Order: sequence, then C-alpha cells, then structure tokens
Amino acid sequence: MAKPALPAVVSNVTARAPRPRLPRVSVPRVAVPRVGVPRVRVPQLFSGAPFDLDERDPEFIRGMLPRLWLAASVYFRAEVNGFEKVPDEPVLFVSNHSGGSMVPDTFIFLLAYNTYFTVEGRPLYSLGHEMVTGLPITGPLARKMGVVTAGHSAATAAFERGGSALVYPGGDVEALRPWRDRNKIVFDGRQGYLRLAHANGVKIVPVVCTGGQDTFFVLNDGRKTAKALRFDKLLRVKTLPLSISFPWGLLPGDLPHVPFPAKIRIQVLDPIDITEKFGADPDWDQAHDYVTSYMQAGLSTLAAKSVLPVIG
Amino acid sequence: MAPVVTRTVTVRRPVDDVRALITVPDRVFPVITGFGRFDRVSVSADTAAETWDIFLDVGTLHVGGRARVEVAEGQSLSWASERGTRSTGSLSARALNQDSCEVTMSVTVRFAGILVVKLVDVAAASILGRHLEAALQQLRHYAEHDELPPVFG
Repeated sequence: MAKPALPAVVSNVTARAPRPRLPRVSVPRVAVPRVGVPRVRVPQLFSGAPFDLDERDPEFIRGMLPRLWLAASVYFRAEVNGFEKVPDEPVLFVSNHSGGSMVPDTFIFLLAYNTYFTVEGRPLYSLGHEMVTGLPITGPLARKMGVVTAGHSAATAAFERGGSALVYPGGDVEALRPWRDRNKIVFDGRQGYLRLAHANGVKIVPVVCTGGQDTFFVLNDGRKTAKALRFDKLLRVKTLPLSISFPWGLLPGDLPHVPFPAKIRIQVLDPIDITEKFGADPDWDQAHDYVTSYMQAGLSTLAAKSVLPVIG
Repeated sequence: MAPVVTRTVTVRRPVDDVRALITVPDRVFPVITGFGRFDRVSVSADTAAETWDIFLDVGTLHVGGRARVEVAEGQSLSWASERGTRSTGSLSARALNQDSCEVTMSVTVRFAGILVVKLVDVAAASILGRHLEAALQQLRHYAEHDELPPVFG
C-alpha cells in the first residue's frame, strides 16, 4: 500500500493556523521595586557532544563485542528475542529504559543488534543523554559504539543515511524509577518519538526490557528534590532518587556503579506504522496511548517470565 | 497456608463492555497469552457452569488442570479445580465511573507438602502476581484498543 506523501521539511512542528492579531493597548510603565533574590539565569552545567554519525566505528564495535558478550551472557544471563520482527528498512526502536546511569540493557541491545544484523549491516544509532556523550573518556567510547546526543536532527540524519535509531522516551525519569515500578512503562508523557517517526516516515519497533531495574535499587523517584535543587535546569535531569547500589550503598541520586548481576530479558515487539494506523495527521495523544498500552502489555508479559528478582 | 494473590487494573471502558468480555470464557481465555492450553470439556445443562481444561505456563511448570468455570449473573467469572493443581480464582469488574472500571483477578493455589511448600508459597505468590499482572494488562489492552496483546515465546 502506497504511503501518503509527507512534507519535505523535516520538522516536528505541526503547522497551525495563524493566531488572530489582538489590538495594541498602550500601558503606562510603572517602576516596580525589586523584592527578594534577583533572578539569575542558571547555566546548564553540561552539554553533550554535537552529533557526528561518522564517529560510529564498526571495527571498534567488532572489538567490543566479545567483551560485551561475556558481560551479557555470563554476568547478566541475557536473553534477546524478536529481531525477526524488524522490517528491512530504517526503523525507530522505542524502548523502556532501566539501570540508572549504567544502562546495561542498552549495551546488551547493541550487542544483540550488531550480531544479528552484523556490524557492517544497517547501523544502529542510540540517542543518549548529554551526560553519556559528553563525559571525557566514556563519551568518546560511547560515540564509537554509535551513541549520539539525543535530538531529532541526529535521528533524522541516521534515517537519511539508511540507519536505524534507538530512543528511550522515558529517559532519566524512567531509568531512575522506583523498584516497585520496575515493570511499568514510564514515558512521563513524552511524545516526541511519535513525531520523529511520523515526520521521517519510519515505523516504530517497540522493545521491552526487564531486569535492568534489578541491577540497583531505587527507593523513590525524587522528583521534588531534583526540582528544588534545579537539577532540571542545570543538568537536564528531572529526578534525584534515593538508591542502593554497589559500592556506594544508600545514595541520593545515582553514580556510576557496579550493577548487580540481574537476569536481563529483552523482547522486540511487532512494528507499528503510525501513519497507517493513525493517518497523516495523527491525534498524538491517541497514538501515544496506543503505543504505551501495547508496550505495557508486552512488558508485563515479559516480566511474568521472572521467577525471583535479580536471580531470574 | 495457600497464597492468595490479587491484582487489579483500571480499564478505560464502561463496566458493561468489560464484563461482556471477562465473563465469557471463549472470549477471555484466548486474550490471556499465559494460558498455554485451554479447551472446553463440557457444559452443564442446568447451571451456568462449564468444565474446562486450562493451564497457565510458568516456566518449567504447567499450572492448572480441569476446572469448573462459573459465571455469576454476567458480573464475574470464577473457577475451582477438579483435577490437577489445586486452585480457585475469580475475575470481576466494578465501575469507577461512566467510562472506566476496575478489573480484579484473584487466584489461590495450594501445593502439596509441609516444609518445602512454605518456601514454594513465597516464590509462588511472587510469580503468580506477575502472571496475574500480565493477564490483566493483556485484557486491558484488548478492551481499550480492540486488539490482541503482543504474543511471544
């Protein structure tokens, strides 16, 4: 079936009717004395590396695969299934995010993808937080693995050169969700992934993962703490939870840690064509509701395979 | 003591629509992907009771057997084992408002033994809880989007 033509402009801004112009009203200026602490523009402390898809290094990935395989198979006893469902075209993988700052499910997925589709096959670019791509030492390593600073431009560039993209709409909020919500999809209302897939005419391939949130334990979500400390402005991080991890023990927030050897399972689900299902001008709320519902059913089904937390 | 495991989920559909799904074994069993095997054995002529062979796949185990399935006045579905794993369960819905309802699934399983079964009960409650959660999420997706939930091995 022929797809409807999409606008050539790659933008996630939906065209709107022009706002009606209101009549100008002149208001006399009144001097108002400033009271309290003057507002200070808080600079963002961290900025990620600008994206450069050529930083993905297939030979480096090939060299990393044996190490990743050891960690994935022996330490995490990982299982990844469902790649046969992925169509032979650029797609947007949409996954739930777990494991805090260490994100073991991301590296296991990269390992499985690069072995199933081969390192020289369709490249996969994972859209990551600025802190992943911008840190010294680990940032360049991540970029060589195909991690790029998250943004619509980066994903669009990946699709244009025939690659696929992996995105985690839930971001830090989901990766730092409390342990009691470990089997829940928490996208925090973010819908940009829908616009991204629709604007670029690519299908969404949902991916669900369990076990990542057993590699450390989050006791609360810490949203109020993060907001009070303005972490959302400084670091673009919306949560500051209490967590238990090794070797730190009980810690506010999350630092790079040694993940507990939890069993990780990843399941690729059937692709979703947003344009085919919701039309050329989708109701984004309806589309988001459908995708998250589908993923939640898949995640709960995958979680039912667990026998005991951490152990598997 | 046999673990009683209960889970609930909110479904954004009118309660009558959801009851029409959960009280009909032919409609509800195929939606729950955890039921690896289910076959109707017989229908009782004088009551709203049916006999089913129904098994829940739990890793190396197939929990279930032959059970008597009853529907109570179109409002809830319940079952009690006659053969196989000793279990009872129920599936019901209550209205929250005009457009949504709360679906509750409850299962009790009794295992043989005395000492080891205490350990098994603890693990079983946790495992059953996840299976009930999965079953309810599958039902919710089917009721809200009129589409079978994802199926995988």
